[in-house]
Amino acid sequence: MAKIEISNLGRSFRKKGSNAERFWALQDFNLSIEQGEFVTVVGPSGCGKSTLLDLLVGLTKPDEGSISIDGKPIDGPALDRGIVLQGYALFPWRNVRKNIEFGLEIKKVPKNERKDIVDHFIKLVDLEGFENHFPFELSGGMQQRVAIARALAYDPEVLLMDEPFAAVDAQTRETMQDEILSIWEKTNKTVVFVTHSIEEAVGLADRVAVMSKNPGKVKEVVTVNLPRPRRIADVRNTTDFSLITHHVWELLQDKEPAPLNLGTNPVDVGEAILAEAAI
Amino acid sequence: MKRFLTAFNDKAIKFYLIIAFVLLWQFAPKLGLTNPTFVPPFTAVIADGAELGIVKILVHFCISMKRVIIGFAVSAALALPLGFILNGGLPKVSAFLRPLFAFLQQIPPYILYPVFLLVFGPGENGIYLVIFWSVFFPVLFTTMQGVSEIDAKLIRAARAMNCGGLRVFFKVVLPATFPSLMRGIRSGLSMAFLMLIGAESMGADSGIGWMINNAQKLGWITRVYLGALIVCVVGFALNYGLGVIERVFVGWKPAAELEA
Repeated sequence: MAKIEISNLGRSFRKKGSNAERFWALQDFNLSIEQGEFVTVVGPSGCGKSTLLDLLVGLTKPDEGSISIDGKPIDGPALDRGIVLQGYALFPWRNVRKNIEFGLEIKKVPKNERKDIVDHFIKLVDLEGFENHFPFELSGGMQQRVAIARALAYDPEVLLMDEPFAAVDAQTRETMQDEILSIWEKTNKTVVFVTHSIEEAVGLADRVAVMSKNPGKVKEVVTVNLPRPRRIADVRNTTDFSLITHHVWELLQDKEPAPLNLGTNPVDVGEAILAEAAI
Repeated sequence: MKRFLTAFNDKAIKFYLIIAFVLLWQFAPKLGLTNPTFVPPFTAVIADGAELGIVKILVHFCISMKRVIIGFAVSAALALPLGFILNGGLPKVSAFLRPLFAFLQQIPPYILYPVFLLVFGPGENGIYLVIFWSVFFPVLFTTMQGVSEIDAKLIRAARAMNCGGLRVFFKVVLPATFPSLMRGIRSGLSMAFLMLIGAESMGADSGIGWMINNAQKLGWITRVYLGALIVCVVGFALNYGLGVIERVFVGWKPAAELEA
């Protein structure tokens, strides 16, 4: 059985200034994600990525279809899912340690156990020595690492990430991508990672769910057969990476690309170069 | 040595002007720049204080503070929860009440004193009501503003971590609005103190405000200055104390965002 099973999912909102008409942010959305898989969701802005994540978190309920984890329908937020939000959303009045502790307090983990857990995750995200700093004293990349540690600390089975690296600079972004890969390899969590960057989606994922909008649905799920363990810098310049990103790009451009058949396809050199230029 | 002087200067710079002011106050009447009858020198005012005696000053001070603290406590105890309830949970009721509150807020509280006197009779009640009035609106409005300024992302993050209901309030809403609450309490308290002096001079038989008003009636100018000096010192100390509390509890904000 798949870890996360999303079938015929639909979520609509009332249109502004109209009571009867509804706008479908998601409709006929199907995706199943295996235990321990790293799946990225990429799509144009307004395609319902954030709505999908809200549904996965349990902050809203579907109007149609179902969404379940381990066969159980999602019914509100729970600590079996950790979330890393766009823009960090750290509690500014809590220092690094206290921020990471938040979920543990909700989970009612005893104080003495909390300390060891937090120490472990501070080490994992490489923030030793910053335990007592407040968020405003940290760089964007460090804040992001705190947010990741906070989501991992209460040991969720699924990690949900909503464009977590959108706000950090390019250099930090790549470091963070490698870090999230290494954390994922160490912890074996199931990851659903939403992004609007094709390169990021392909670089991180086992599979990329490419979305189309109005209404938001999965257009195609692209399998990324790049080697693991992976570092972004090692795969970025490979032909396979270029072909896959180009394929995803074509999907997002609403073109009908030829089926992707890596390795066996006679590679059109010109197109491969074009694809790299498109990145 | 030079470094020591620079460090000293940095620390002392806040006091230079106050010292200069006191010196001017002291010597202007003596040099004939002002009339000593209307502006008695600083030492004369201090001497008058000594004559009145620290005990009597403290008695007046305590009576005044008791009025401020009781009026303030009752008012804040109502305004704080009301602010949270209105802006947090009842936006419609909030929109309904806001214009009336904004209107009432414009009334200088001590002007109401005669009305309070007519309605509630003479005595302490009128003074308490003036204080209540002057604290209520600043605290209510800053609380409401603080609640509406909470970053929605933080609530979302907390709810995603299965933090709901009252726990959201105590773990997110309250700490997030704390700086605004402190700001409201500070301005409410300074307002209360100012209004107290006014109210006491209208209808009381004790307190610093009464002391000033009484001296004024007797033409005892030195005593008027003494009262003003006490008001300044107490008001300054109150504000300073709250500033310290604020810095201790709001240490998580960049220093630039904190008011001096």
